[in-house]
Parts: sequence; C-alpha cells; structure tokens
Amino acid sequence: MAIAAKRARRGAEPGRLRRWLGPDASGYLLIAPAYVTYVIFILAPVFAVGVLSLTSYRLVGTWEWIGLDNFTSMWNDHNYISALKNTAVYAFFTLMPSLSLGLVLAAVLTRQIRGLSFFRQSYYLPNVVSTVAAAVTWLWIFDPGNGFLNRILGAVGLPRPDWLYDPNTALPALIVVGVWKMLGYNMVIYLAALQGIPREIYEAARVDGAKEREAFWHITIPLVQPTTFFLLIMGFINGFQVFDQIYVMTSGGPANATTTLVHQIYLNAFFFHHLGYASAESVFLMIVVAFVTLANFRYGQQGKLMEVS
Amino acid sequence: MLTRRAFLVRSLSLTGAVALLAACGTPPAASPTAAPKATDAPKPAATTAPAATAAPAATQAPAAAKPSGPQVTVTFWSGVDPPVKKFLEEDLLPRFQKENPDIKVEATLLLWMEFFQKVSVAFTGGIGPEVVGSGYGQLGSMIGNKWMQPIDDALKTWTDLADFDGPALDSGKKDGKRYAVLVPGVRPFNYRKDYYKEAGYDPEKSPKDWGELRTYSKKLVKLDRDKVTRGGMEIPLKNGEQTFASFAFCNGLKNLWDEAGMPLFDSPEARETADYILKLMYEDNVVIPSDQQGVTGTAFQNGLAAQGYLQSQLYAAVEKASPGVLGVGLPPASTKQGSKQTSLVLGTFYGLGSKVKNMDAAAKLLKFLCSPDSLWTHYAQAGFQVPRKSLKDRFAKDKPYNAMVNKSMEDMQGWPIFPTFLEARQVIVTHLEAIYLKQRTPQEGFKLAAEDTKKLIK
Amino acid sequence: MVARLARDRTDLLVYAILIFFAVLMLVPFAVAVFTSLKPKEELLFSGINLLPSNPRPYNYVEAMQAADWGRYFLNSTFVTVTCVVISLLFNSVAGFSFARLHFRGRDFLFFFMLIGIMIPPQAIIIPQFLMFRAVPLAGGNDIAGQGGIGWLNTYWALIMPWLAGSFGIFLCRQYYINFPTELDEAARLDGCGPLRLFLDIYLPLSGPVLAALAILKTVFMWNDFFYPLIMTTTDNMRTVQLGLQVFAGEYMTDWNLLMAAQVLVTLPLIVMFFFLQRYFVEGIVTTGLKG
Repeated sequence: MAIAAKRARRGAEPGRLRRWLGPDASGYLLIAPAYVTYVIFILAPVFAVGVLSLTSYRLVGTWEWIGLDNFTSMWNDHNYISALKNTAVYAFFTLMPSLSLGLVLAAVLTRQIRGLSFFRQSYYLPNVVSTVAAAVTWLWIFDPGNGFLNRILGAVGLPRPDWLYDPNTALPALIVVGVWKMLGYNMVIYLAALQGIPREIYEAARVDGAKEREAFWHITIPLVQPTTFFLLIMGFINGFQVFDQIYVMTSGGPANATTTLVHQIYLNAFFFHHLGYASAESVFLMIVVAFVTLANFRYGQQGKLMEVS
Repeated sequence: MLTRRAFLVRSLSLTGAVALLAACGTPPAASPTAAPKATDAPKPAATTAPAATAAPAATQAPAAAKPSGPQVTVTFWSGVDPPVKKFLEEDLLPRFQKENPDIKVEATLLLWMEFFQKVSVAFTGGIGPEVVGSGYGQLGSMIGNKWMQPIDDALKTWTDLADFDGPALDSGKKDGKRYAVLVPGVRPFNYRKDYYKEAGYDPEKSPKDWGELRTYSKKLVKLDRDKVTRGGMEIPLKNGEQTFASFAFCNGLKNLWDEAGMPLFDSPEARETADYILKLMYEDNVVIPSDQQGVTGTAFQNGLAAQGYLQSQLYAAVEKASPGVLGVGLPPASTKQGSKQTSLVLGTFYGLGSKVKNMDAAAKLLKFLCSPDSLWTHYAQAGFQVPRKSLKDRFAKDKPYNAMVNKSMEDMQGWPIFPTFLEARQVIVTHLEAIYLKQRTPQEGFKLAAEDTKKLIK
Repeated sequence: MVARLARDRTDLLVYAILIFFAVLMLVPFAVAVFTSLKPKEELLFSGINLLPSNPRPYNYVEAMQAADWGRYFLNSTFVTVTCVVISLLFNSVAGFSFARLHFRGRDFLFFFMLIGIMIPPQAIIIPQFLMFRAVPLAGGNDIAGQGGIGWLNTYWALIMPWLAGSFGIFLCRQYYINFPTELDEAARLDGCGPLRLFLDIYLPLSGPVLAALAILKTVFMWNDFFYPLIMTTTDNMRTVQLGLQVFAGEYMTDWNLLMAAQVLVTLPLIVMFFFLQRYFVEGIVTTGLKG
C-alpha cells in the first residue's frame, strides 16, 4: 500500500527539473558533504594559488599584479633549478627500485613460503612510521663520524662517506630512506594483485615448458600492469611532494644538494613571505604532477583503472 | 620472532603504561593549569603551563585559581635555546608572576628553528605578542615588517639606564630609534681543556693566530684512518655563516653586510678567510662535518670537536654535560699584519611588539627581563653575558673563564640590523656551503652570493 | 631426487633474499629500540654495540616527562579520530552515490573530483593558510575576516580540509560499482530511498573498503607533519610529529630519550597495523586494484 502510494507520488509529482535531474536527485545531497569539502578546501585553493601566482603578494605590505613575472624569475632562480633537478631525481630513483623490488619480492612471496606474514609485516612496517620519526633514526644512522652505518663500513674496511654532508651522497642517502619507506607498500599491493591471478595460468605455462623466469616476464608483469600503473602514479605524486625528510634531515643542504620543490615553497612562503612567488612555484608543481599523471594515462594502461563499468 | 598474541599483549601493555603515564604527567585539555610536570618544582600554574598560552577558539583555559582583582594579560613570545626555555619557564616568569599578581603572562617559548615562522603568523594575523624575544639578525626583519615598536619611551622610565653596557642599548637601533635591549651572547674562541691536556697543550692557553690554530688542530684531531671522528677545529659545513664571520672578522672584514644589507663579503679579506678554512678542511683534514642549526647540535657541543666558536648561551649545557672542560680564549688573529681579535656577538633582543594592549604591563615585563637579577639568571642558567656595569665584577669572579669572556667583549661585532636579513643569510649560507664543498672557488662563490644579495634590495 | 634438491636450493636462495631484505627493513627499528634503552654513558664512542649492555627502560618515563606529550598525543588522537570517522562517512556515501545512483552530471562530477588526486596538498597550502586566517568572527577576526588569525592554530584548521578526499571517494566508488544491480533493484522495489539503500544494504557490506580507508587515513593523519607545521603556532596545539621534531631540537644530545619518544609516537600505528593488516590487504584486493 505504502509502496504504491509512494510510486504514485513519484509518478505524478516530478516536475521538469526533477525529471531532468534524473531518478536519484537525492544523490546530489549525498555527495554534497564530500563535494563541498572538496570544492572549498581543494578546488578553490587551486584557483586561488593560480591567482596569487600572478601577484607580488607578501604577508605584509602592499602588492600588485605582475603578470607572469614570478614564473620568469623562477627560471633565473638557481635554488629553484636545483630543487627541480633534485626532486625529479628523488622521485625517479625512489620509485624505480621500490617498484621493481616490490614486484620481485611479492612474486617470491607468492611461492609456498613459510612465515609469509612475518615477511609481509616486516616489509610493510617502515611505511607505517612517520617520516619525522624515521628521519630521526636515519640521521643517527648516517652520522659521518659516529653513526651506525659508518661504524659498520669502518669495521669492514670500506670507505666512509660523509653522507648527508656530502653533496654527492646526500640525495642518494635520502633516496635510500625513501625506498625503505615505499618498498613495503608497493610490495603489499603487488602481493594482493598477484594473489588475484589464477594459479591455472601458471600451471598451463609450466605444462607448455615455460621456466619460472619466463613466466614472470610474460605472465606476471603484463597481468599486474594496472597495479603498476596505479603505483607509478601514486609513487610519482608522493615523490614530488617530498618535504618532511628534507626539513628534518638536511634542510635542503649542503649547498642546495637536497632542496626540493616543496622545500622551496616552504622557505619562500612561510619563511621569507614571498607568497606570490611561492604560489608560482606551487602552480608549477601542480602542472608537473598533472602532466606526468596524464602522460601515464595516455601511454600507460589507458583507462584501465578508471573504467566505468 | 614473537607470536602475534605475545606481541599484541606486550605492545598493548606498553601502550597502556604510556597512556597512564601521559595521563598522570600532563594536564587534560579542559584544565591546562592542573598538574605540573612531575619533575618540575611547584610553581604558580597560570604562568607557564604551555597549555595556557594563546589558543584562540580551540581551548580556553578556565580562569586561574585565585582571581585577585582585575587581571591584565601580557603575551610574551621568545625564541629560545633549551636551557633558556627551562629557566624562563621555571624561574623567571614565575618570579615575575609573584611580584606582579595582577599581570598574567601568556608565554610562548619557541626553539629558534621554528620561532620566526610561528611568530610571523601571529604578527600578520594581528595577534602578535606584546613582548618579544627576537634573534639578533631577525630583529631587522621584524622591524622591517613593522612588527616592533621603538622602546625609547619605555626606556625613559628606567632609572638605571646608565648601568647598561653601550652595546646592550645601541645594537638594536635602527634609524635613530631603539627597538630592543640586547642580552649578548658573545662567541669568543672555545676549546676543550681535557683534549688539550691529552694532546700535551697548556689548558689555559689557546692559539693566538691562524698559524698556531692549524698546528693545534692537527694535533687535536682524531682520525680513524682518514676519517675524522673528532674534529680539531669545528667549522660547520652547513649553516656556517657565524663561524665564517668569526674567522673573517679576525682577518679585517668589517662585517658580512652593511647597514643597508649590501654585501661586504665580496672582498679579499673574505676570500683569504675562505682559503684558510679550506686548508683546514682539505689539506689538514681536521674538520668534522657539522651543522650549526641541525637538530642534533654542533660538534663542539657534543664533544666531537676540540675547538670551535660556540655561542655562549650553550656554555651551561656544555658545563653540565662535562664539568670543568670548557676553555675560553680570544679568537685567533689572522697571520696578516695588524689583524685584530674581534669576536662575533649575537644574542637575544627583548623588545615590544607593534600592538601592545596594556603598555604598563608590557613595559613592566620588559623591564623585569632586563633587570639585574633576571640578566644574572640569563647568565647563570644559560651563559649569556651580563650587560650591566654593576655586575661586571661579580661576573668576572664567578667563573674562571669569565675574565676572558669580558676581555673578548672589549672588541666585538654583531650583525647589522636590516630588513632583508633572513633572505641575505640564506644566500650566504648556501654559497658558503658550495665554497666549502669546493663546488665553487671563493672568488666565484662570493661574487655570486653578492649578486644574489644585491637582488634582494630593490 | 635431483628435482627435490634443486627445489631446496632455490628455496634456500629465496629465503636468503627474503631474510636479507627483512633485516634491512628492520635494522632502523632495532637501532631505535635498542638506543632508546641505552643509558647515556653508552651512547658515544662505543663501536658497534647495538644492544644496550645495561638496559634502562626509565628512559621512556624521562622522555615522556620532558615535554607536554600528553597534550601532543591528545591533539593527534583527536584530530586523527575525527577525520577518520567523518571522512569514512563522507567518502563512502559519496562513493556509493557515484557508483549506484543515477543523477544528471554524475560522471562529470566524479571525474571532476578526481582532479583532487593529482593535487599535491603542499601546493595549495598557501591559499589554505590565507583562507583559514580569514575565517570571519574566529580567532579575533571581524565579520570581514580581518584583524586576527582566524582558524589558524585551532583544531578546525587541522581537521576541515581532510574531511573528505578524492582518493577515498574513488576507492569507495570502485568498491561499490562491483556489486550486482539486482541488489539495488530488490531494495528499491521495497521502497528504499537512496540513503536507506546505502545504510541498510551497502554499508554493512563495506567492511573491507572502510577498513582499508581507515588505515590509510589514520596513518596519513597521525604522521602528517607539514600541515600542522604551517597551521599551528603554539605548543598546546602541537601534534605528536611536531612534538617529536621540537623534542629533537631540545634534547639533541640525548639520543636515547629521542629514540624513546620516537618509539612511543610510532607505537600506536604499529599496534594498529598488526591488528588490522588482514583487513588492509583485503581492502586493497577488493577495491579493484587486483590484476
């Protein structure tokens, strides 16, 4: 009875607008809380940062519209150029080893391994630790004179670099920390993906005489491509945001060897108060990330991830 | 490998223990004035419990226990080193509170590494502190941003103005107005007496010129094969502008910048200094890499260098860690004819923020901070110098090395006060690092740094 | 027999590799935990002695007493819990709507929202900062949002931007989209409105995706450093990560205390991870990321 009444109301009442909006117009209400949050705290700031980047705004004093001046001066700012280089190197060299090693380790773990959960846990653990906490430990490990690492290297008779104090080793040291943190995450997600591959495919390949390594190249890698694609994008976005590590471990030095895009944004915005200029740097960061993400879509597994059922 | 259950049980009990501990040791949100920390001596709660400081909208502390008449509030923010934080919180501010029960001090004491960023948020938001403890160079930026006001009027009511050392009142001058009183922290030459003895040197005598310094350093360094495990001389590779200045002043460089913030370091004096430092670093291999601003402290402070230019605010900390080992001398002069032994002096500037609601109360706190008693505490608890003539004798007699500290103050030099200081500092720091790492010659490095510095001033 | 031997040999190699990497991963933890238990005398000039010869658990008590840790933990817990709970609700209901409801512009709105995944939070922190500073009638501001610090240095600034997230909505949508349509149709025939449909039918089935999201969000919120660094000014608003960083500056020579604090700050997440890792992995698998 009630149902009938409701349907009748639905059938009779809807005006043109209601029909135009579709059968579940209340969907708008349901997405509203999340969408409003998104628009106010993400989208609006994206536009605002674009507008700010065209000004000479500082926290104090007067400001004016200066067009693209901020962007042109970015290219003459050698701090920024260093940051750009360092960030790209960091993102790439954190991503590649943690992806490939993650996949290999995950593949190994899908064999009948005893203590699977122990390995999974120990690989994943670093990802749970905050960057600040990890940085504090690693600072001590990398200490040139008395750190853990150099004590070991010294005992074995290997050369002992100055790590964070040497421009040639500072960024690699940070990359080690980055890989240490990311490896487990990539591995766990790969593991989940691999467990979704039916064993029969491998069985069939074995019957056809394929070796394990061949199976890895020709079955595993292609089948986990969507996962790789996902991890690639996420890892890249992450890598381009690196800041905490830098702030605690090197503050960008020595001689700008480890300054990054976000570190420059931080310095210029919240230390020197060149908010307009820092906004231009932010805009550029967004463009780079968007560009790489979209390029991935274009040339990676197109649309696999985003497919609408 | 623990079993999962065993692990969980253990970690849970540990978490529980910690939670309990935390609950006992610290006040809950609603009553930030409740329990003082277990280690602290009992103290008037409202003064310093950190939770009672300004937290707009988030949590408002209930009024302090005894509302004795109308209370005025004074906000006080200061950059601090750890020992300074300790004595301000536990000693000076409670004392002020006791003397002035009608004034409530809301103190926010921030480590130097975060002070400027936080205080600038407050000032640009219009809720800047009324009494400010600023860093030496930062004062220029603070005045440039119009966050400080001249204290000349406040000073007029001080009857003992003549008792102050000249630099204490004049270092914070800009455009003829006094903005702050300096509690000086001079940086004479420091060495470890125990390491000197170990190397067979007289623990009462330090190298008098750059030649001797090299000899000393080579003897004092500890190597593990080619690796320095204890530096002969500390020269911070990172954030090293202060130590560089300490050296360069003794080679005739007047300062790193002039009063307008224009660079002075693109000069032969600076280049010679850099050449000399590079010799210590590479030819003699006596320098352990360190960071003047790193979270882990400087090498000298950690016992990892035998000599260095330590800020005197950290003397007390060194003395506490290893009593009786700290030696003080004059900075070694360069080998040039007629070079001087000038010490770099920095320190904390106490002044008034641009917006003061209750001038009486704020001025009272400022005066209190600069009172003989309070300045003595600054010295006794941290290692600042006492910029009071009446206390000179007491100071000189208090510790064996203080005579030397006094002597070093006869010839000292601080930074100029100019608005682009923070940026200019970053420029020279970055280029110094490149020079120290031999990525650039001193010639190129200082030239580039000078260009970058000039660009800051439009 | 030969095959068996060969298999044993590869197995040995496999274990060797796995254990090698496990050790690499765990060494920093060991360093942290063991250092946190060392008395001060054992810290310097000690060669490679990882283990404390004279364990001193009291370091933990000392570290906790040395700063206002209770307050920091309280702040972090409050911010994390609030954000996790609310964001789970917002994200799942939005993800459900995008997956199961039909309204005009749905897919456009969804893809428009996905832009958010590409925006690095640090890139928009400047306008967020200015925006929070200008919240009207808060933190000393007038009606036009001038004159005070607005929501800066309050929980609002730490919580509001994280109440929903493009990634969370995306995961939820991917999860819900895999359910058979019969499920809705039956319910709709019973006269269920969209919200009812979500609450009665879909929410009870959302365990895995919500668990995965909850874990990701908890880790993110608990560990976030940059955001509170910019948005807070005073000691009483510090989160544990900021506390840890300042603590590092204050107790720079006391590595044992520093490590103790670090272990305690990390512990809640590690405990949570051990409890929930099964859900976490399940959540990943069921969110459509499988191969």
